Amino acid sequence: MLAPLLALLLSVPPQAPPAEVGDSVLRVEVFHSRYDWTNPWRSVPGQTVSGTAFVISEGRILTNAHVVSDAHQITVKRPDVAEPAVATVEAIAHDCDLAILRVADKNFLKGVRALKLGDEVPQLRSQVVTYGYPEGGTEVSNTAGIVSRVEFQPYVHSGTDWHLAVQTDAAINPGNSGGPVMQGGKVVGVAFQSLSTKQSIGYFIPIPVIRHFLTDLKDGHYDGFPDLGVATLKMVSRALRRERGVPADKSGVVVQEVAPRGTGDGLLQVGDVLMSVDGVSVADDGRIALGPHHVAFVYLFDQKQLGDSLTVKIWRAGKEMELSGKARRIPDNDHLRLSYDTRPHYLVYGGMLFMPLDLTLFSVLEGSRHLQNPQVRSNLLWNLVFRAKEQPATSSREVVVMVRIFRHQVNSQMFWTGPVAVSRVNGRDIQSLKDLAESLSANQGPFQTFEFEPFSGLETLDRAKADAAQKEILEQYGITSDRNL
Amino acid sequence: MELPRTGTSKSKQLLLASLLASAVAFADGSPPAAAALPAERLRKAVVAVRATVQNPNWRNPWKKLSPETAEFNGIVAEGHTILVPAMELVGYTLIEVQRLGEQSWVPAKVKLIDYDLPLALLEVEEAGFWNGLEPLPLAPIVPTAGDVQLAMWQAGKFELANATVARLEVDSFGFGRVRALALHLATTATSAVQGEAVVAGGQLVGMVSSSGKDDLVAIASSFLGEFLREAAHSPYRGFARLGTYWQSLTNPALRNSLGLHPEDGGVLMNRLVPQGGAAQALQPRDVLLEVAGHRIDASGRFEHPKYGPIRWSLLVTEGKRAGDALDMLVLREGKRQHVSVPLKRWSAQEDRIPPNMAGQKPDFVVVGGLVFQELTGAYLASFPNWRLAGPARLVIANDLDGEWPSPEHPRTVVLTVVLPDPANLGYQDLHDLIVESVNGVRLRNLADLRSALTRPVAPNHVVEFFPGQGIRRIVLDVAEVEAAAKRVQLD
Repeated sequence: MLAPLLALLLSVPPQAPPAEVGDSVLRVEVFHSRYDWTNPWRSVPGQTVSGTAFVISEGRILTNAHVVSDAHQITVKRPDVAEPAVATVEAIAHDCDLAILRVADKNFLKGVRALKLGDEVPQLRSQVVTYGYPEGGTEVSNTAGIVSRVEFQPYVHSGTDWHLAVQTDAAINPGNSGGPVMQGGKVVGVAFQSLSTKQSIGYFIPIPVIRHFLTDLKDGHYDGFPDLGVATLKMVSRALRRERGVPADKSGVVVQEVAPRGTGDGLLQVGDVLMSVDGVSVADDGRIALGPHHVAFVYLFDQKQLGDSLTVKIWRAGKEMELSGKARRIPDNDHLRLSYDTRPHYLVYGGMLFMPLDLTLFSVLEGSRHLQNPQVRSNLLWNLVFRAKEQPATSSREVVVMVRIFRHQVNSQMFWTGPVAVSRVNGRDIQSLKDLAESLSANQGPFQTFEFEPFSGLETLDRAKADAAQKEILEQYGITSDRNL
Repeated sequence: MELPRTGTSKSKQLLLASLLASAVAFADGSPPAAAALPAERLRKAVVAVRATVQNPNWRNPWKKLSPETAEFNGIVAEGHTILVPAMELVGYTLIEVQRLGEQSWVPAKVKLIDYDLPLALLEVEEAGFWNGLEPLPLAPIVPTAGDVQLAMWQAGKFELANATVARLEVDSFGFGRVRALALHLATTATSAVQGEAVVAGGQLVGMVSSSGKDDLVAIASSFLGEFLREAAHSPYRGFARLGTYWQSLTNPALRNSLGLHPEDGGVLMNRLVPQGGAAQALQPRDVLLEVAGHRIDASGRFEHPKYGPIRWSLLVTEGKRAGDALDMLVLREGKRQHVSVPLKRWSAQEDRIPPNMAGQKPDFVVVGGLVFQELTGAYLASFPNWRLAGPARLVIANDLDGEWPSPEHPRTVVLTVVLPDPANLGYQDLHDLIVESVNGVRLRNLADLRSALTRPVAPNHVVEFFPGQGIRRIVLDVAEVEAAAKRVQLD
């Protein structure tokens, strides 16, 4: 498992900071608290965690998104100054696990030298040094390591996104998160996650990903990375190459699936051979040259900003074609990202808690052992991960889950108590939480009727009684608001 | 990453209604009045059983797993037969029995095996074997409470252990799918595994089917009697399973909306599995009010004349056989009507994804090192912790489509693994993919695959996968596939 590197608070006595980074490596302390996904109007009790950040330029402080997610208070502390300063999040990118902090107090960073960002991904087997406050210490510590791999990797913070990452054997421990990784006096990355099963495998976010984040922010707004939305197969099979009619001197990968609304939609088709992107050729194994490295071709698409133009060369129907497209982000994929810094969407009616299905809700239900029924679990997992791919026409449906019941006389005899997906309300197919709310409020009949997947389960509330009980249920269970649609 | 834990304390009771069983001990709870029997008599009624089995390796279906031997008990029955649970007999190579703690193990033969239950009858040819063995009388009524004894052979020694009847339920047993009366026994330390005799008042009241830490489940003697009587019937008809997904109707608002009177009971039919008998006579959203003249209450129980309120599914097997019919009174679209529901014996093999493969041989096709199988529960169960860690799309298919065969999809064909060979370079990482078509033929089963392979899209075989799995289409060179057939060794 890859684990982000937050450390619970500890304290250690002071010493002089290392010369390469001076006073620019800061200790970050964050009091954070998440919303409680099964009582979504409130937060779970918060806790204080610590991480690392560093000063880059113009008073900007770079750290990991996961260090400052769901933060109620952030303080940063210079190694040479006793008093910490309050910081705020200027920008946060959960998809690449980076954030920019600002300190209002102009004097706080006086005399601090900003660290220079390097330009390249470090060479394999070259040495890098990680700086930070592992295990929550108050002193900057540093550990040297060797670059062992440069690859596309999952960024665990969002639960979904993959970008370029560098693997090193430098000890990256909890608390190192957000710390600079240095080589030749320049920043080559930001430490962000490690393999929790292996002591000495850590990962840092390399310069191209950091620069993509900073460039994205130039207009003052973070838009995020584009989604190619294309699955490919290496063109290793001779039969496949022959069948596609690809000459021996051409290389590339064979397009297998194209998701709606991504960069690939309208550009690539199933069966196309993707030969090059912006003039960079794609090898038969799907890799491209990046300086001395060979990385997945997706990197070329990943490096685009939303709206950027790109050109691909493909082999289609027996001939080479050059096509142009634009980098796009798939909005429907957001439910596959873990949610941070947002209030969950929900509706409470008749004591039933309804929420849209997303990765956060599924993870919470799974983690709290609420998905004991295998068919319910499979139904939710299918809706979450597979439905849009198998039935693209339904990709905009937001699946609503009846998560649980707050027991009251109006619902206490119900058979279905959740979690279970809602298929229809009052005879109407439910496409979103808003849709469900509308269906309930538009109904003038005596009953509110709910149908559930995957067993075609049925429940009914007496509408007059449920409406009358609403206030009492909210009060009894301390539900501050019946909805956040 | 730690996500917040939820505020609720225990898992929800969101269970498939037809799997629930909540019957409570009723009546006066006392065992049939008769004198307790001495150990000397009980030891003649139970024998030790040793079964050696060898089952297929479903991941590499041309291979077999290492043979395993299990010891359990069997119950001496009338007509020189031994009644045993069939759970441990799947893939048997040798079954032996041992009488009265004697040293020798005597070979036994299967006279009858019904994996739907799962129960079997063994016979022993050696004439002298039966000397000194004597069946116990079967109790016609099972105690709903009180003490019982467990009689068993354990490593050549006869043991008696005490247990208490905790409750009666309607259960299926092991991988069996037919539901029948079950005794749930509370017990402390006992070495009972399965097949042990449960005795009360000098009569056999059950046979242990499974053992947990502090409790045992036993198949009630009433059903053992049904099985023994059916075993003597020619031809063997077996027992039915209806194939219903239903829910209780305890919610008064739901009852009102369905037009039920407060004095009505009734449960709601939600889904009907097409291969079951219920689908032939019932309809989804029928409210089941009566079965064979018994009123069904809102939580799905009827008043059993001997045992009190108990799950209605008992009426499918108690005194009934496959081939019989069951009269049901339903409320359908506001009207009460009687329907006759055929009782159908229905094996796991009729499902789209058979949940167990007891008594079945694996079937598979290897093409250019690509291994194709019809998806089965046995294949999924070969993955450790398969529900959470097995191939996700296949687990979903099992849970959502497994019971629902259709003319287009009687089975689900899967590319399970690729055996490395030069013919499949580029495809060797593929595994556990649902196949949609081969050479343009949409696959219903492996037979379709075999026939599709005789008509390649020259010079290739074209394999297309079900969407959403990240791979749609691969091709194999027919000539290379033929060459590979000589190279790929299935050892």
